[in-house]
Amino acid sequence: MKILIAEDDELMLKTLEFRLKRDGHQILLAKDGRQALEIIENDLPDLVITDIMMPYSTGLEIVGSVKQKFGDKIKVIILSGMGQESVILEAFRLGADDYITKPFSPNELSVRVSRFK
Amino acid sequence: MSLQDIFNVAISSLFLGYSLFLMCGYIFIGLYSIGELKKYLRKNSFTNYRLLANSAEAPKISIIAPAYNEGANIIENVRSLMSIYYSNLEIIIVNDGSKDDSLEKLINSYELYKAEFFVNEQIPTKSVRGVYKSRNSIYSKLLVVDKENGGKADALNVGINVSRNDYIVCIDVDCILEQDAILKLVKPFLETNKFRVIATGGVVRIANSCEVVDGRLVKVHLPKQLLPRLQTLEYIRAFLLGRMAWSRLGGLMLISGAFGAFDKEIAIKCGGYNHKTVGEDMELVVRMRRYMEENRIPYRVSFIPDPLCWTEAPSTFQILGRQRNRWTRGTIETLKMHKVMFFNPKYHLMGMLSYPYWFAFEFLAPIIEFVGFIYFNLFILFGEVNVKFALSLLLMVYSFGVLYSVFGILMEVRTYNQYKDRKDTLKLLLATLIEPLILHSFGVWHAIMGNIDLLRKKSSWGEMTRAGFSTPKKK
Amino acid sequence: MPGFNLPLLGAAFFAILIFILAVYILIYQRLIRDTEAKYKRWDFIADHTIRDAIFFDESTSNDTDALSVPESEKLNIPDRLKRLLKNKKFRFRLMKKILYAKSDVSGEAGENLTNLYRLLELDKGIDKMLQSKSWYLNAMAIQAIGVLELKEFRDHVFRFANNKRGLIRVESQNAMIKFDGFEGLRFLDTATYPITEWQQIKLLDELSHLPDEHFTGIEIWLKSVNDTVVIFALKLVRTYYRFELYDQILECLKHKNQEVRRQAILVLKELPNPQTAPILISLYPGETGKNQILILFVMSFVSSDEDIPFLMNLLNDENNEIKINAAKAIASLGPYGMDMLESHPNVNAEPLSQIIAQIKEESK
Repeated sequence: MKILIAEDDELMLKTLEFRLKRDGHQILLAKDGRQALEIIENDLPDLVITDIMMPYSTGLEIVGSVKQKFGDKIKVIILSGMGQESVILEAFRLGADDYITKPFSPNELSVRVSRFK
Repeated sequence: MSLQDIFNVAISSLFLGYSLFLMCGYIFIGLYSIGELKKYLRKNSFTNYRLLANSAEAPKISIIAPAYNEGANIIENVRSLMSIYYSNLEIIIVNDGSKDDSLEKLINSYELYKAEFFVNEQIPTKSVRGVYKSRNSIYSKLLVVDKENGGKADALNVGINVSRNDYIVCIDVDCILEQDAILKLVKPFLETNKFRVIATGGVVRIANSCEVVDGRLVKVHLPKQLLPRLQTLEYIRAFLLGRMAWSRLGGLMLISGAFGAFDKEIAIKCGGYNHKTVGEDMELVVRMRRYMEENRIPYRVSFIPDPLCWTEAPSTFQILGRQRNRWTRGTIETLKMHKVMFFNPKYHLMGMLSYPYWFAFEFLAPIIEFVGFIYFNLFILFGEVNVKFALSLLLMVYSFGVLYSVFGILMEVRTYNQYKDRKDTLKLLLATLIEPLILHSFGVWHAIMGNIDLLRKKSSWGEMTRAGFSTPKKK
Repeated sequence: MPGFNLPLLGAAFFAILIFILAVYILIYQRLIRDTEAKYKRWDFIADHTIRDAIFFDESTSNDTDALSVPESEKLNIPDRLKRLLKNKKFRFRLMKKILYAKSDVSGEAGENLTNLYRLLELDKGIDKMLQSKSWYLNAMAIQAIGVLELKEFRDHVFRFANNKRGLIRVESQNAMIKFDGFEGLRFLDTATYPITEWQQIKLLDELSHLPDEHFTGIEIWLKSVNDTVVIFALKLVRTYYRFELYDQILECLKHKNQEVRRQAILVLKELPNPQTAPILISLYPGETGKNQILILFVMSFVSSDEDIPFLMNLLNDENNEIKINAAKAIASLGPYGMDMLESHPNVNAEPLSQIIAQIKEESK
């Protein structure tokens, strides 16, 4: 699978990349929302894993625009701190396919990702 | 000794005494700010601000951004506001009867429709033509208000009336915010139970010559033009030393109009922004403080030293002059409206220290400087004064001014160190030498003009045209 | 004449100071530039070490217990790292990085980070930090103990739960929850200092990561003399639906502190039963303006057709905010409510006409 990871924390980004590469996925990286949207346009990943708080565009904006443009062709997993009900609801309302709260287990993420194959 | 000599000595001593008094004030401020800065930075390292962005218990906030003829950049500006992530947030853009196509642009870009909306006019304002919401759920936090032109204070008041949340953050629509700016500004409201925090202010820095991409600061540069560069120095001094010390004392009187947060309930009880003064940002804080003092409610005005908000500074003498003229008038008008507090123990620190400080340092200082300048020149002309003394006094005041600026740079380097380039620092140090000669004397002159204008009852707005961000990549 | 040289003397003195400060600034900045380059290298090493540690188990899971394996085989520490570890500043930086990473990952990966911390012997410094006179270092140490769950220091943390320094107190309270889960909230029994709203947000966040359980103590905290503890207890009632404490919640509605009453009213929002609305209505006349509006807000979740006369009456109130909220509460009762709302005599006049139009549009 071609997976885009959008996350503004360098260490987290590298960690996720490392983990998912070992599962045999092709990984694209974006450090902010603007970059993420560009990569989505150009490379059409199968799955986007995005943090919520990022420069330029929030993860919620990314879900919204991905789902409006590509519908179910691109899956989106939101990765975020404290799972407040209203945020989770909004994420799903905008079309998110899954929601994982930090701190999260990398192994769990790997399993959740594999469900979208 | 003749009567004339005695007179001369008396006058000289008066000027000397006044200079020493001002210097002591500045030394106190400089030293007093150090501890507070250190404490803030250490505390900051424990704070995970992002917790606030997600929490359901976080305070509900409305960002209010008034816009007048901002058509050129309004879409980008709103776009960068929309990228703020905070769950209990509402963004209100107030179109203050712009003559350009700002509103049409917003309607088209953000898929707006005119919504049914009841505006509860708790503060009287010019009439509201319509409230717009977006059809697109991505922009569900956006509200655009269209109203009759009435000036910045009136536009902000409309924003307050429209706001449905407990706290308001007032910003200039074109300023550039740091990633966690809103979170940092809001946190002080949650930190104490002993006092009611009624307002928090953030640091404003100068964005001229900085690299900006999509409404976000990418790289900080020292302004290349002379005037913005000198103002950079001025802002470092004012925010890092001045406001920090005042906030530690608990006597902060001014929150920059470009970026500040307020407790909406208190702001409404005080009647909102006053559109009769050109210094509405300072006046509101003073009025809110006065309200709290008169109602005997323990309160605080808080201050965040982190550079949170970057804005473009005037780069021509003409616009800078207008700005300084307006500041002077704003200060005087505010002081006049609240003169009852002058050395009035009923108002505690506010009456006994803050108000007199503003009176002596902000209102009186330029006048005394100006009069002193005239006085010495006249007497040198007639050979009536000890030239050596006059010059050495001038030299002392000048060198103290430079020293204070250099100390400001030192604090900046030791805390945020925004101008990392060696050349930038050297330039900034050089600027300390000419700043008193150019920017300061220019400021004094326009402060005097402001005084005169005020005496003539001229209260026009002094339109501030902006040059737009000139980034190197556009070359 | 004496004093005449004073200004010149002053000027000379200031000039010397200016020179010294300027030189200091330039040297200091140069040092920063050098260290920043060094930090970049350090961060690279640190990031790699942390990443390797996070995935350590999987690469060598030869079903041997990690702890029984000799030190050298547990996790490969490059010599470069070993040398760097002698540097105090590097250790400090690495420690912060591990703490930060730990807040993002859980499960086995999280435990690996704690093991890494011990393996690098970063825990050896904790004692010294705890004894330091600097509140900053104390708080750092407590934070590390809590986040990494260093059990051997558990008892130290408890001493600080009611410290006079806010930050130390807060870190210690957080650590107690890390160790003991809901039981860790017991510090509330004796908390004399206020629990600020910020800390409440933090505590609720910590608790949200724990599996739900039926914890005890709320009934004590609801009676605390510390108003902020009562407020926090009410938030717990609301978050964990602990409505068996109904009678005590009702007591809080009569509390002298308006903020406590406010929280109690909010709790009722989650308790839609036939008694709730009548209770709110009986409170209404005696409440502050701010709380009256909150009552009306809660009414739009818990009211029934019988409350319509009370709400309709409020449409005549002078305060528009009350009109809006009363109208919303009536509209929340569905088509019947809407009909009643439109039967009001002022329905075609401002402000009611506009309020109703807005409610209709928003309910679409």
